[in-house]
Amino acid sequence: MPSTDSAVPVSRSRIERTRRLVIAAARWVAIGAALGAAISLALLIVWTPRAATDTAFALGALVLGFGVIAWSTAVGLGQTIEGMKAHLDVSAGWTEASAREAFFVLSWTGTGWVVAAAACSILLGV
Amino acid sequence: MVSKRFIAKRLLLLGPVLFGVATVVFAILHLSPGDPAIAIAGERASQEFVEQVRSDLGLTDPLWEQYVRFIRDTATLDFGESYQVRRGTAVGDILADRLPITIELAVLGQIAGLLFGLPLGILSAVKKDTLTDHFSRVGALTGISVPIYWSGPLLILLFAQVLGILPTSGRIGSTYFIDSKTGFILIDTLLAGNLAAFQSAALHLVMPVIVLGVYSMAFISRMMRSSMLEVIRQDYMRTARAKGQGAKTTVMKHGLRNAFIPVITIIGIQFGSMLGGSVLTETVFEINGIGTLLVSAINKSDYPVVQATVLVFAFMYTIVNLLVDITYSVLDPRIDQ
Repeated sequence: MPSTDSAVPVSRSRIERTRRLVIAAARWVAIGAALGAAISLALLIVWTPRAATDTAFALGALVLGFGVIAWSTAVGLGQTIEGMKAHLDVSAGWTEASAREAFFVLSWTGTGWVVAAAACSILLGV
Repeated sequence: MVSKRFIAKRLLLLGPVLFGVATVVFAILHLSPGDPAIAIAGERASQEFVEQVRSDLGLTDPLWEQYVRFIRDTATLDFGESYQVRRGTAVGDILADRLPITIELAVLGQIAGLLFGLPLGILSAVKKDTLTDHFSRVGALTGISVPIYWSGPLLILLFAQVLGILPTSGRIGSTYFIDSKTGFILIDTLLAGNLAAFQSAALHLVMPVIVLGVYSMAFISRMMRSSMLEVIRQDYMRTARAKGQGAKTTVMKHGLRNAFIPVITIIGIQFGSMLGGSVLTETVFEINGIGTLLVSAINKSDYPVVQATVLVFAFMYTIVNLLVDITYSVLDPRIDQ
């Protein structure tokens, strides 16, 4: 049954790809959470708990927002930008795939960061 | 033809883009100095009153709570009420009043840019390395380099102060009272059947449109030139000429459509510059569009108005780029979406 044989690897590779994406996202969320918690605690040295956690949250939101915008732009306009750069002969090795990967990292780091800052806010009783 | 899957994918991306923009604007507003409670209560208000105002606005809650509330309200298109610009008025109503003004300006600026940029680019390519080409290239470079906050006052000085042929600011002469039906002043004056008012509105738009259009024209002509130069070298152009077709017909019939494809992309990407440019243009020419609304809201720490205005800008930019991509694939059916 050739059709079944060819369908199985496709489905397997899709599952494998999703698994790798989930693991990568979880890793960057964890790194972001560590960053968010560290910054919240570091700011506590100079500011009140409210100001420290609010600032840490806003910084994390900045990273998250920028990452999500840039990721969506790379997905939506990446090929257009790539084509335009090639057309104008100003391409410097920028590709849609690399941009998507970079902003994926930024988005999930930002997510971990804001969640950790919010958690610190709750734990400190702000 | 454009596939439904492609359009669905682009419309789905609208969600993350708007979420990202909302998040960044929220973060920047809360990181920047300025307290809306003090702006509302006044510098001389007592601390108790300022705290009361802050509590009424929900600014005493932890930032993450404010963020969750903001994202939830934005998702249901509830932008809240203005703190200061028009205190107590729903932000949606303020935007509905101001949005057509900016759209009219941006669209006319883009049309002006296309009307002058395309012929200039084609002429420059066809007459490569001649005096016409050199003048056109210098003109394009100047158009890209001159900032709006400099070209605007300079035009006012020349056409309004020295020559006295164009009005300095506003949208229409103070003697005309036109009911706003669509919000677009040119259409409203025509609907009112008042030609004198239409003429006044058109004259008021000349300078802002030139200021916005020059930048667009310069960019489009530069892109059109390089694109047309590439097309002119193609075999099919040479074949058309060898078969006895005139130079003008060959360029217009076979060259223009193919050279236009990269230019279309630029128009979409550049629409963001037009919106950004409208902020400066409206400020220079005292036009009450979204641009002046944004500047005023930032100065007065009016968070809901700033957030909603920036979101509207992002929405318009994304939609225009979607339309550009659809046009792109209609012009060139070979393009795989």
